[in-house]
Amino acid sequence: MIVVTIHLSGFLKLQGTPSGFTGGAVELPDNATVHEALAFIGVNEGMPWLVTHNGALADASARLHYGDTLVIIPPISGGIF
Amino acid sequence: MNGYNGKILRVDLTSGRITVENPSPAFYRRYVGGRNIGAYILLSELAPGIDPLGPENKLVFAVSMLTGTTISGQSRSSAMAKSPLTGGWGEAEAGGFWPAEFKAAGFDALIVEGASAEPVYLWIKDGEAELRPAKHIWGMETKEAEARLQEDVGDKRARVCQIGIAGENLVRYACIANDLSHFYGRSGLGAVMGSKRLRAIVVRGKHKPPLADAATMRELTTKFNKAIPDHPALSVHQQLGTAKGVVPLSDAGILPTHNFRGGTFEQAEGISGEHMKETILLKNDTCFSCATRCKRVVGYDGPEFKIDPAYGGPEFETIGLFGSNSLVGDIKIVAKANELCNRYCIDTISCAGTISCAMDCFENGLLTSEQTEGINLRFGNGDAILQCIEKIARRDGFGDLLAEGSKRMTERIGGAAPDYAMHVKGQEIPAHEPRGKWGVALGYGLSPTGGDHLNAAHDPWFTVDADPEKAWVSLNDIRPLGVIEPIPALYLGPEKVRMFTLLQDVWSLINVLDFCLFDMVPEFSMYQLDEIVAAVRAVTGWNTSLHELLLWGERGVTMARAFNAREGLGFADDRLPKRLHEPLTSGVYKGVAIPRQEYEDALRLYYEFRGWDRDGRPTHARLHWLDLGWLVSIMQGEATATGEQAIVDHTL
Repeated sequence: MIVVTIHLSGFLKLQGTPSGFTGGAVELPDNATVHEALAFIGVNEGMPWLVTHNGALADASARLHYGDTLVIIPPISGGIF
Repeated sequence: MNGYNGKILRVDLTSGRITVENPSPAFYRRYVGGRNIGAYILLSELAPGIDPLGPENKLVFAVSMLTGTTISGQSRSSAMAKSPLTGGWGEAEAGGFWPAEFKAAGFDALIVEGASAEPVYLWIKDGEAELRPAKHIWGMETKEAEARLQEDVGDKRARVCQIGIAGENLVRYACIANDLSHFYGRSGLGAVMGSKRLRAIVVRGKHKPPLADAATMRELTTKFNKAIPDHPALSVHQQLGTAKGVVPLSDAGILPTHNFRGGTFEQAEGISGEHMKETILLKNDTCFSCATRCKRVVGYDGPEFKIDPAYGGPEFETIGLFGSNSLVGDIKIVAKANELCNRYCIDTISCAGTISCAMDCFENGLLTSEQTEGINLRFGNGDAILQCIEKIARRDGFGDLLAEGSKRMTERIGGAAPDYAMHVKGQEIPAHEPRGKWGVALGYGLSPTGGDHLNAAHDPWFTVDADPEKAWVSLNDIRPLGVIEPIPALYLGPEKVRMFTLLQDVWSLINVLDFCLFDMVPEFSMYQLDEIVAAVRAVTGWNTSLHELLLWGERGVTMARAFNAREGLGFADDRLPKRLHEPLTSGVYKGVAIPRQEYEDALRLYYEFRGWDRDGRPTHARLHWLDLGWLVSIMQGEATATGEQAIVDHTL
């Protein structure tokens, strides 16, 4: 297993994911991908989230490693959302 | 006529003459409201080349058929004139209670022309209007002035639209306030009103134009109001206001920082909507008949300063520019800067943009302490910002230079200073970093008012084909326009330019209908486009369609462009500040720049899509296509506006 920290930004942090996740460390299987991490915390994959992986734009198929950090950012355009 | 009063008020401040004009039903069907009524009047009646701050300029206020109805988002109006900041098309929209009250007072538009020898205010009540002396409130702060005006007219419920001391002192980015805390922010229209010595427009009325289908309007009103609490984004919008975007944008690397050098601000939490709510937020405010209630009211009573809640609270743009872009991480400083700007009626975007440009000049040795009169104008110095605002409002000393805006200021400073001015066409760009969303760059370049964020969509919304059953932001919202596949954010190819062009018509339509962007934009599944069509039908009884509404939107884009073209603005003026073509220095998009050649190619393609020539001048064919044939001779210089009244003579 690996441990990855997932931060939620904006209203996601405020409201949590549909599965109740509000951010923090999660345990995932070895070789888990970004895509699998999102599914694990119950983020709706049908939305245009911006996801960063260790500070860079994430590739959904990228493998995660122990200690990695993901940030999930809702679609946001400044004053609007 | 359903939805309209059928009357336009014209006030000549030079002679004191007040007249009422009755446009034809076809005039209303063609020009509708807001931006388009203003564009028709200004193009018809202003000669090119006039002084924006001279008596030849005219200031137009206009509403639409939707204004004053019950649906959320309708209480807005447009103000338009030749801009003293850009020398071109000037326009700004504002909400509050004034627009609905203005319409209830009996008019669909107001044309202010000439200039008064002495300060005056205009009192409009139930279809009657009179000019009254305003010497007793000239120089007064807006809160005191509003109270005096309500006392003068003997009605505490009278609504006041006014300028502050910045408008009186002709600050080039002075704005106009409705109800103290709602602003026609951009384009320097407060200076135009100040140049006419018109301090305020006070309105009161009880006239409600008839609706063709009141039942449908009730249904639309109820549907929207019930949907807000369950909408994942609108409910947060209600809780945190526009400031909800600060932290996510910083996380996403597109929060303007250090005068648009970087995209991430380490102190973003300190200026966030969440922090504002925890520390200085007193309550929410709203506009007439709007259930969203997104406006902030903040207050503070500390040892260093007090913040008066009468002036509302800072919006995202203000926070982004006085905050991260100036490297200030204290929400109280930002809120105080906002309060001062509101108190004096100064556009916070242009003001903050000009000050952060001056900070760059100061830190790079182009401005000295002697020139700034001892103000230590370094990034992060919030106290320096507050000192500058006080000086700008009065054009006091160094403030006189800042009051000119970043373009004129840096041209006077000389050397490399113009490279630090983040403006388009002379108007400062707002707090949206386009290097992470290249369509926003097109929006800045192609906004007829110069740097402005309310002329186009933000492309990250349309980068994924979200499931409309699960997602509240969905490409599906814009499929009725013919955009059917996702388009990447960092892209300026033909598909992006096409999407931008189609969406720009919708954004223009919002300003024609004087509707609130938050409630109408086709991005997050609230009002759908066909529901806006339904609302227009229900109010007017017209047999209309989305096609006709988009034509209204394109007409607005083209008339505003024609105004600029007539003033000599073209391709060169659609260019971006140099810094946006340089790599971002921090954040997720570090290293990304807007590619200059791709951007300029996109401009040329956009002109072709629009039916404009290579310099972006509308062609006679497109003007005829848009049923604007009367503009052809004006654009060819064969006819010029004479300053004569145009509406009563308008024949169809």
